[in-house]
Amino acid sequence: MGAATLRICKNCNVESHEISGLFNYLRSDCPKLLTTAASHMRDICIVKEHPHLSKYLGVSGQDHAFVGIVPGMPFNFTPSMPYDHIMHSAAEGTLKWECKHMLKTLFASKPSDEFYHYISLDGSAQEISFNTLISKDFNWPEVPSLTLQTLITP
Amino acid sequence: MLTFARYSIVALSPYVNEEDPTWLCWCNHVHFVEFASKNSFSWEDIVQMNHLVLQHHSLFNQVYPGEATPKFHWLLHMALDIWWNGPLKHVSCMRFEVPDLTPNHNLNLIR
Repeated sequence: MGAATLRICKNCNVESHEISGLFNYLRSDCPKLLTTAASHMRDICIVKEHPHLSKYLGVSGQDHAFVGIVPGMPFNFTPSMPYDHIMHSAAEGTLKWECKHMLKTLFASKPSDEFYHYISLDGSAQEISFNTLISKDFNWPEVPSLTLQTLITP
Repeated sequence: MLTFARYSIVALSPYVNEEDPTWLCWCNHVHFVEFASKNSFSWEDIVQMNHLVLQHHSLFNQVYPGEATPKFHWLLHMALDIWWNGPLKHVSCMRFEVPDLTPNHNLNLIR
């Protein structure tokens, strides 16, 4: 490996040949990453005592590794995985759960009702499921906000 | 889901009581998810995001008692992790999930 392959770690500004582990711009042994990983040692201790929490905390029983958060990830254990899990927890996990319960609490008549009604532009009543409402195929911007008023109707 | 979340505050706010803790909790959640997706952060941004997370957790326990999962613990790390490592977007694997979209879509079609 020649000198030309020396690169600067974006995290600690140290030149290294070892930049290959994470998105190709961080040293695999970057001390800042290791320091940050150390802040999760408490989580690892929790999982050691309560193994059933591992799926929530994203930590394996081993001291040095974090379990793969998402199947098919292109790299193996890195200390950065907790942050990736944060993004998933914030953007996919808790958000969806809370959205569903927020709609039920504020708009739905029955807690078990999975369907909502709205009036389309031509005046006809439409039924829409929660899963459709949050799916990427649902063209949300085309639903005028006025029609959402009927979400509160039983 | 994120599209709905982003539009929800503007679209639904005329029809809800904006002082309702359920609504405030949802708004806090959407706001800090927006913050987590930013490309750059100032110190004030990080402080504000940390405040939003703490406020959200407090409201969530009030609105949905007993429903908090260990996932909420991870959100408490967010501000410090951004301070040490930069925007979370740079260490998210969502970009790497994109190649999975096509096979997932095909599987849904034949399911």
